Amino acid sequence: MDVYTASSRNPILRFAVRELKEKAPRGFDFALFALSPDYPFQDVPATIKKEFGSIEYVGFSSSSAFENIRLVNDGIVGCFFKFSSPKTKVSFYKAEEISEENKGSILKGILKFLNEKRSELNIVIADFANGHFPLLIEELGEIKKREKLEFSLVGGVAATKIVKGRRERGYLFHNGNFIKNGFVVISFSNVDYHIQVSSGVFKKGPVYTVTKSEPFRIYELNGRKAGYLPKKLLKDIEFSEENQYLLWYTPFGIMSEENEIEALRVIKGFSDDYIELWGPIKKGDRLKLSLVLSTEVLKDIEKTARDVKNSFGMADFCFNFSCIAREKVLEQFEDKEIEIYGRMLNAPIFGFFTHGEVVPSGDKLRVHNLASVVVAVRERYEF
Amino acid sequence: MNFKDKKLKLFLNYIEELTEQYEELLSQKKELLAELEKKAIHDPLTGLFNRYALMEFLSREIERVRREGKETLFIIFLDLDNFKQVNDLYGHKKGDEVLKEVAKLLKSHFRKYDIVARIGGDEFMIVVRNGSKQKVEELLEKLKSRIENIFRKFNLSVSYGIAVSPTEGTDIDRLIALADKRMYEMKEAHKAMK
Repeated sequence: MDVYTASSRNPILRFAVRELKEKAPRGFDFALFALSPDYPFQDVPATIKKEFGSIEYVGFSSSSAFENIRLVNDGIVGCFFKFSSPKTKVSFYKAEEISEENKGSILKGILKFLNEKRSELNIVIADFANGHFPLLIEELGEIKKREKLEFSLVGGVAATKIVKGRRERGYLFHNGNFIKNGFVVISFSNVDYHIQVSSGVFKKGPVYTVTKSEPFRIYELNGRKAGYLPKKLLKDIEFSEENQYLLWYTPFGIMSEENEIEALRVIKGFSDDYIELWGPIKKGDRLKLSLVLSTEVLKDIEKTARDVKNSFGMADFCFNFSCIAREKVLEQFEDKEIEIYGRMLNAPIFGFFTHGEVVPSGDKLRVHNLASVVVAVRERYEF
Repeated sequence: MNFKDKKLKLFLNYIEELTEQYEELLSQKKELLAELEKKAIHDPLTGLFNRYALMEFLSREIERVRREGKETLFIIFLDLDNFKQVNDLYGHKKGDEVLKEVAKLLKSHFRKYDIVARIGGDEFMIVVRNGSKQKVEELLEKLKSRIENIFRKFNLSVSYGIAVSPTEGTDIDRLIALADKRMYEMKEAHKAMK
């Protein structure tokens, strides 16, 4: 498999796509496009069709995407796959307008697809869908564990811009069709792969039990009104808009039955009564209040990259889904992470900052915050 | 306050929360340990020491007597005669009440530093440090008549036996067996009188 990545920062969508076309290899089999949310999204399918013709692709909005070791903000990054074997193919499963009402049928559909593709690499790119997508994945993960299903799924929620603590709407499309409030699973056949997650958070910390909650809100910790905790963390710190990012340095780790951190949750906001999170939470969850130091995060990236290299060897290509909160907490080292991956994994990289990472976790699937997920991919060769 | 200072303050606040949580956990741990300790050495019904605690205390005290040879220990075995009838005629609840009341009387008749234990059913052991045998016997007789008076309607009586260390040895098992034997002699004497 040959994989090429290219980017453009031209603010005019048409010129940016044209620039990408000039850089793209001839005769590729499949493409991924990460586009700045500032581009006029209505024009994306037509512009791609005009420049590339009828190609197989998935496109999505992303405020920051990775072109190998380069972080591309406010532009477009393309990733072009040329398969070496005729056996290597991509297939898709799409769902849109996820809601409480149609969640059941979507779960049924995706379970059927993933069971059929259980030996394949399944990448999911999604819209937050008003919170319905993360909840759907957590439920899918529970079913996977309960029914001992073997499939794998990894990916991320495409990050749009956050304005005044609110997530702006993202968009997603497949071969010219919009996928509204939904997701697309891209299934790669005839590939070997290795998935590894890195967090680098401080693993010691006070533990609390969620005693009252809503899907994204904690109302009570250890029977006490949850709002006291962020208030205490921000004690004697003068209020400003950037304080919301301060709490990204103290994420919660959801503890597994084995007392390991199973998934991270970043604090989005709070009031006297509740703490709002960027990921789902439920009553009975045990949470460890953790701490993020950029130096530790980078150390863990090095370790993750080394582990991937040692256990997988040479990759044709790597995906990287990294939480948008890491961009903030890594501060001046925001592009160090992909630099480390690129240098140590010696492969082209495509990825983006996410609003939630979908990761296999034990027998389950979980939606993470603040994690970096790397997927090393290699096409199976026939001799 | 710039962002760096705010971050530092956040980390300090985090550590404060961490410390408070650990202090809370530590105090919970202490309470739990105290509770466990209490459960491990006390008889749950009467609150008196249990057999395990008594044996620990006795072995420590006998060792001291053996080493220093100054003190005298009185090992008392005490049993309630006809207690089984209380359970059979009035039920176990009433039987438990009687045992609790007897335990209270035992505790109130001995000094704080003497050890009063319930070692099973209606059997008690008391370890008295120092004093004269005559005074200990007088005290036990007073206690015996008090218990027999209070529980007259249950036809309860008290038998006891005393062993003295180091006069009669420093072997725990032997001393207990001696006190037990003397208690049985008194019990037999009670039966013979009836």
